[in-house]
Formats: sequence, structure tokens, C-alpha cells
Amino acid sequence: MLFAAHDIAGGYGAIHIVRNISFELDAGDTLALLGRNGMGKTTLLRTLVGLADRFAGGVAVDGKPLPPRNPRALARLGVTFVPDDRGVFARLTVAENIRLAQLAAYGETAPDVYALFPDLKRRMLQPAGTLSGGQQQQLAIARALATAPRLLIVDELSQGLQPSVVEDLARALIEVTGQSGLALILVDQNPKLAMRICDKVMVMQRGEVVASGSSAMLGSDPRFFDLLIVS
Amino acid sequence: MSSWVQILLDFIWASSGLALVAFSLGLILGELRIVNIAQGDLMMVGAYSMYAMRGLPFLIALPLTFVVGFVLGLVLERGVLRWVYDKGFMTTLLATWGVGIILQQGVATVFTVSQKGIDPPLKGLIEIGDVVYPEYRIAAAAGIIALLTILLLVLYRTALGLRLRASIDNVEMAAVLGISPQRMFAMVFALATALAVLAGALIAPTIAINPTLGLSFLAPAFFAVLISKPGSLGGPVLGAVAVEFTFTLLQAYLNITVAESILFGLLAIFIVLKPQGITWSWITAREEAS
Ligand SMILES: Nc1ncnc2c1ncn2[C@@H]1O[C@H](COP(=O)(O)OP(=O)(O)O)[C@@H](O)[C@H]1O
Ligand SMILES: [Mg+2]
Repeated sequence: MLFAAHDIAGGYGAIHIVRNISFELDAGDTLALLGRNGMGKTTLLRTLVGLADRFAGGVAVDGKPLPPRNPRALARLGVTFVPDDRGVFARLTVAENIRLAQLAAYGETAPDVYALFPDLKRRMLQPAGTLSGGQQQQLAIARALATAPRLLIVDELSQGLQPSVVEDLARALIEVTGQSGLALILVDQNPKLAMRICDKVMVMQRGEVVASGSSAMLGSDPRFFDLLIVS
Repeated sequence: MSSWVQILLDFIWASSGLALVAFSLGLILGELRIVNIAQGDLMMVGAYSMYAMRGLPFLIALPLTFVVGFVLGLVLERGVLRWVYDKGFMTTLLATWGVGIILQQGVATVFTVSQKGIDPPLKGLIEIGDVVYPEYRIAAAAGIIALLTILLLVLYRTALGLRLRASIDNVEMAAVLGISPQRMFAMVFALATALAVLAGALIAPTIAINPTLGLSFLAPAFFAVLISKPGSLGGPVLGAVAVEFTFTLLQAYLNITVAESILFGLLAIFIVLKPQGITWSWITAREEAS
């Protein structure tokens, strides 16, 4: 078992936002985490990677339990995160952003991120803060992949981006997860996109998981989409 | 002509010392988002450390003073500051203010408040045209400029510097990339403390040493940081040069009190008008994020 979360409760300070969350991922597993706005997806991801408070439950990598609020402990075991604001180092150049990831690399064989995103190669010396939104997301994904991770966690892949850019990013993710045994947890507002990239789905409502299954199964269930529609 | 050579040399001497203090203040503000009110008092500690070691050769006392500063910085960060990072900007401000007062009182208790002085290690004078200028100031300024150059090269050309700049930029994502904020904070504060202490040590032979000497350095160093871009590391160095340049010009025509008042007035106006300068929201942004 690459990654396991059991009975997670998390939130900020004294505010409990998510609870009773359990799931497991093997190498190569891809999980879409869906749900309407404000249902706790971001909070769950941040609790998992140690950027929000974990009140109960455990997170384990290779069966080894991890301390709460310690993103470095996950980084050392090959778990990396792309936050919903992309989190690029704005004052650092594109090349420096990637270099940092290479310095922190978990695995030996990171994909050639400049081949994956040629746009970044042309802008290597540009400060990341001056990139467009789409380019920043490319950089955020590229930087995460450059750590040669075993598990990539992405919050809001397509938010605010043009369809052509989203398509490039989706293709890149499908390519790397398909080839390398990289596991993925993906949050996106677009269920069709997320389920095209991921084999499994989990749906959250008010901080809890209310449905889960394979993308193929849930995708053909009309009740599933009801859970995602803003009412 | 001769008076301009004199003014130029004074300007180089004063701005190099200020640049070192401003650099250290900017480093702390950038990484820890703390305005260290005690920075001037740390200079004072450096001057007294040199006074205490006046029996030793200068070039042995100087690195020892740097080590004293580094250890003091570690003790202050681990012992005081880390407990107040998440208590808000005002608390950190008060905490460093308190540290400054304790340092002043401590030094006054040990050394009394009477003025002290130390001899410069170089007592010669250099003649440039018809101007004679103390060798020591020229050597010390050259040393500071070399040190700042090395520091900036480390920050912008090494992996350690890259990690530090990343952590200044986005401490959460730096942690996601395996960079420990706690370790970075401790290292940065210790280094910045050592640099302020070192600046005080270098200035010591040229001033009257007393427990409140830090005060007159804090305000200009703070302004040098404020007029540079938020989180910039080279900026405060240029800021120090700009502040000292303006001050030198004003002082050439006005008496020192008037010159100082006008300088601080000008800087206040500049900061209000300059939108990309360091703002309150930039300083407090990290509190909301964490
Ligand atoms: N920093 C925070 N402090 C307190 N509550 C928060 C914070 N961030 C988000 N929340 C609350 O947590 C709930 C879940 O938000 P979030 O995890 O961002 O949901 P999602 O990502 O599914 O849109 C919301 O009600 C939101 O208001
Ligand atoms: Mg969200």
C-alpha cells in the first residue's frame, strides 16, 4: 500500500471541517476527488499533506504512519502537492523553481518536464510571477513532477484556465500516470475531466465522503451527477 | 575639490556600515516577516563585545564577536521569537522591542553606562590629494563590501541561497519541497544577528560606545529596507546607499539635525507614494496563510 488515510478529521485551528475520511492508494492508482464548492476538498488535501490541522485519524506511506502538520515528512517519502493557487515561487525564475524540485527529488527518474511543457523551456529565465495563469499551472505541475514523486496531489487543475491549456495539462497527467506508476489525487470542478484522468472517484459533501467507486461505474449513475450540481 | 573627496569617503564609510545592518534587517523581515527593533541594540552588543575583547588582536576578536552574535541569534530565535511567530505582527514587534531593552539593560549592568572606546587596529592615515583619511575606515568599508558581495553571491548562486529565497517567497510550498521553515528561520535569524553584531564591531573603533548607541542606526536601516521591494535581499543594500546619499547631500548644506529631519520627512513621503514598497498586507499575509 503506497498511501493510506484512515478516519481523518481535519480543519483549521479549532474548526473541524472534514471527518471520517478513509481511502487507500496503490502505485499507479488515480483518484478524482469531487464535490461542490466549500465541501471540504481543499481542506482534506491540505490535512493529508500536513498544511492543515489533523485532529484524528492517520496518514501512512508504505504503511509507515506520518506526523501531522509536516509536509517535509511526506516530501521525503515522495508525496508532493500542487495547491489551488499553484504556489509557484513568484520571484524565482522558472528554471529556479524546477531546480528546487530537482534538489528535493525523491526518485531517480523524474520525467523531462521541459519536454513535457516546451513553453517552460522557452521561459526558463523568466520570474514565475510574470507567467500567465496557464503557464503558472504548467510550472506548478512540472515542478511537482520534477521531484520524481510517487504520489502527486493536485488541487483545482483546470480552474480559470483556457480549454486548450487544460487539454495540455490533462494529456501530460495521463501520460505520466500511465507510464510510471505515479499515483494521483486530483480535485477539479469539472467531473468529466477529472474522471477522464482518474480511474476512481470520491465525492464529498459537507466534509464527508458520500459516494465512491470507479469512474466508469459512477459516471453512468445519474444520481452521482446530482451530488455535484449546484442547487 | 578636497571637500568632495572627503564627503565621498565619508559617504562610502557610512553607507557600507548601514548597508550591512539594512541587509540583515531585510533578511529577517523577508524570511520571518518580523521587524526586528533590536537590530540596533545587536550592533551595540557587537561594539561591547569588541570592547570586552580589546586585549585580543582585532582580527581574532572580530570573528569571535561574529560567533557570539550567531549564538545570541540562535538563543533569541529558539528562546523567544519562535513562540510569537503566530501571535501576530504587533506581538513580534513588542517581543523584539523587549529583547532590545534587555540587551541595553544587561550591557549597562555589566559595563555601566559610561562611554567606552576602543582603538582601531589600523591607526594610519591615507592621503588622497590634500585630504587625509583614516586607513581603518577604508579597510573596514572594503571588508564590508566584500562580505556583502559574498553574501549576495551565496544567496543568488548556491543551492542554499535558492532554498532560502524560495522559503522567503512561499514558506508553505518550500516546506512541500522539503525545506524546513523552522530550520530556515533559525538559520536566518542567527546569521542576521551575527551580521548586525559584526557591523557594530566594525563601527566600534570610530564611535563612542554606550548602551543606547543602536538607536541612531535603527531608523535609517529601517528606511533602507522600507524603500526596497518586499522580500528583496539586494534591495536594502541599495536602499542604504540611497538613504546615505541623500543624507550626505543634505548634510553638505545643512546642519545635522535639520538634515536628519528633512531626510526622515522625505523618506516618509517616498514610502507613502511608492506603491510597490513593503506594505502592511505583505508583512501580515503569511499570518493569514498559516
Ligand atoms: N482557513 C480557513 N479557516 C477556516 N475555515 C476555512 C478555511 N478555509 C476554508 N474554510 C472553510 O472550510 C470549508 C471547506 O472549504 P474548502 O476545503 O476550501 O472546500 P472546497 O475545496 O471543497 O471548495 C468551507 O466552509 C470554508 O469556508
Ligand atoms: Mg477548494
